[in-house]
Amino acid sequence: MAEAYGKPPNQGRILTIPGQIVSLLVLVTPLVVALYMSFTDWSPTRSGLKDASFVGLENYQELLIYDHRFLQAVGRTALLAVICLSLEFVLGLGLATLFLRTFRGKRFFFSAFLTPMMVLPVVVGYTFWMLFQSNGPVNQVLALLGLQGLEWFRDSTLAFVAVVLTEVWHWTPLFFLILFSGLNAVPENPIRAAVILGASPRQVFWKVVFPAIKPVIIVAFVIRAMEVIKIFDEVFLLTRGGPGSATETISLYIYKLAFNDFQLAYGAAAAFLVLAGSLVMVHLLLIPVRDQLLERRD
Amino acid sequence: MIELIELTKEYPGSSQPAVDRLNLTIFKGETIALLGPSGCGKTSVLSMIVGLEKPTAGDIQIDGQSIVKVPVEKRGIGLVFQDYAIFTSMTVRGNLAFGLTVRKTPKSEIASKVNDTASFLGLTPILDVKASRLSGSELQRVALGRTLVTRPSILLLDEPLSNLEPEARLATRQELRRLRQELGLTIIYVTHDQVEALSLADRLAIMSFGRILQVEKTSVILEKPKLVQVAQFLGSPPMNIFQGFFHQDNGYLAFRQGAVDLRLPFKSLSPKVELGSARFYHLGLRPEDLDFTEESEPFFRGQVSGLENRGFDSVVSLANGNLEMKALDPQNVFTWGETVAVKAKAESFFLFDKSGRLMEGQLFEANHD
Repeated sequence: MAEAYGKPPNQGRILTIPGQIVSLLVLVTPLVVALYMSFTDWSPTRSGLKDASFVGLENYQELLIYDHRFLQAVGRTALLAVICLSLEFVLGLGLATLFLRTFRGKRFFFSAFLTPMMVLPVVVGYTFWMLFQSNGPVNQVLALLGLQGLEWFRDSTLAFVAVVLTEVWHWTPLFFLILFSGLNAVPENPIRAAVILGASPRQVFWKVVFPAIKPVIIVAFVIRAMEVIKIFDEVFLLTRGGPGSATETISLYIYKLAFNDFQLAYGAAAAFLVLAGSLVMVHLLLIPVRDQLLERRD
Repeated sequence: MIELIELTKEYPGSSQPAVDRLNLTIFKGETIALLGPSGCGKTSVLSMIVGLEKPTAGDIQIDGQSIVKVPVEKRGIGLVFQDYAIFTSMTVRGNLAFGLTVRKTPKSEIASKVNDTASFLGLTPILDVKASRLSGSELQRVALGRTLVTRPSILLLDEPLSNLEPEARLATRQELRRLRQELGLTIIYVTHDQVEALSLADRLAIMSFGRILQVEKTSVILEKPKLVQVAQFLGSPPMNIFQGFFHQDNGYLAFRQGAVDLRLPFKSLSPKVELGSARFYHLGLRPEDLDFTEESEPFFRGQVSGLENRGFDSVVSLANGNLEMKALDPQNVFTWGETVAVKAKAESFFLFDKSGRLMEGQLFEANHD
């Protein structure tokens, strides 16, 4: 026994080997295979992957230079991200500020406002699909207001708006929650000090509160941006990318490449481009607050 | 001159007012400390003077003008928080300039005022350091500087020394004295630490439960506690207070608390003091005025029930029945459980009446010995 106690580090490492093997098989291998695949012209309907010919950067070249549908999907996803995140931030911050005060039923509304983000994306997608039908509740409400009903899924812009509304409804609570906890953690005395020194409420917010919650805001943006880039369920259920490809996001396009056209190699290349893009974006987003986040506190 | 007139602050949901009809006059250029235990309302007083909170009733006047309705930023009062409340995302320069920037002061004026204040407080070398990287005493100087840049005539300090290391405390004390001398500031500060209060202030206002018990020059307050609560609060350890009555026993005078008699070194009492169990008094005696003795009929004899070694001396608690008192032992010679006798000189006793008020004048006639 004493000997066994003498060598715990090695033993510990040995014990992790099965786990390492599993993660190697499950996580690393598919990634490496997919990366290799993205440099071939493999299609499962033609041959096995080992017989596929190596085409170098051809898939990437095709995607970045000639595939307008891919580039449009990227642009559309970016636009979706910018619009959704802006709305979610503004609404979330507004709600969070409201919740700093005391009012009747605060606990109830707090829970109520957080509920949407707990609903499964599939359920959200299905529900909003139903809501936006030609004779669905949204149009009925519009009719009550004396307005003409809209063909939400037949018009490119309206379909995009429907996707934005769904996404904003679904994920504003996350911004609200993160910003609310951020605001709650802002110490009170610097705010009081600023007031005594003559700062207006606006100055207090921008000069004292905002810098204090900036890391929290960025983290919220990073989390949500990554989610929006990956958005699939809601769009798939609402519009399937239509009409035409008016609401086709990256995930949806890659899905179609892989499962409608069986262009697995090409789809893999697209996926790696998105991964690279996301990595760059996340790092760029984090630059302004990296020092603040990593700073050691004594 | 600042006058607090019947100043009252009640918080919703609290049965007792935090500040209760408080009256206090603070003279121009003086340093006054509000001293009291946590929760006695002293921070509420500061908040109302600076304008962060509105009084429930009463008035605050500066040179005869009520400032209760004057907005915070126009009162010309600076406040330094206990935790300094520094803007950590800014540099020292940003912090110092804040009060001027938000008032849209011209850039050149900001620069010169910031530089002046920085050199006055020795902050020039660290002007461009991020405030999140500063030490405690640097933070405090930045907090002071940030306030002084706006040239307040009155400076409020919330527990100015309590977050500092002992060496930094000394430096800060000197700093604050210099500020007062060179800038002619009126300084009001609150603290629960009597050492902090005694070391900085010209006058002390002792607070308890939202009221001021006594306002006195710092130099005399230890000799003249007007109320038994004040006596119980001041000193380290504070004055021993016995509650009971005087009686004559076998030819000597005694003070009885419960079942224990304290044998007094007096020949007689003045006519103002009455004998008998119907007359209740508080008798006070400082720990430092008790001497250990071998005599057969001492003032008090008790067992050592507590010892607190303070390095240079020990605080010895002596107990007999429900009566306990503290004495100082400079030699650190006593042990737990030992029986020890103490005596005291007649002139070292304080007598407070039933309501706790100090009785002044000649009250006892000492024994001849």
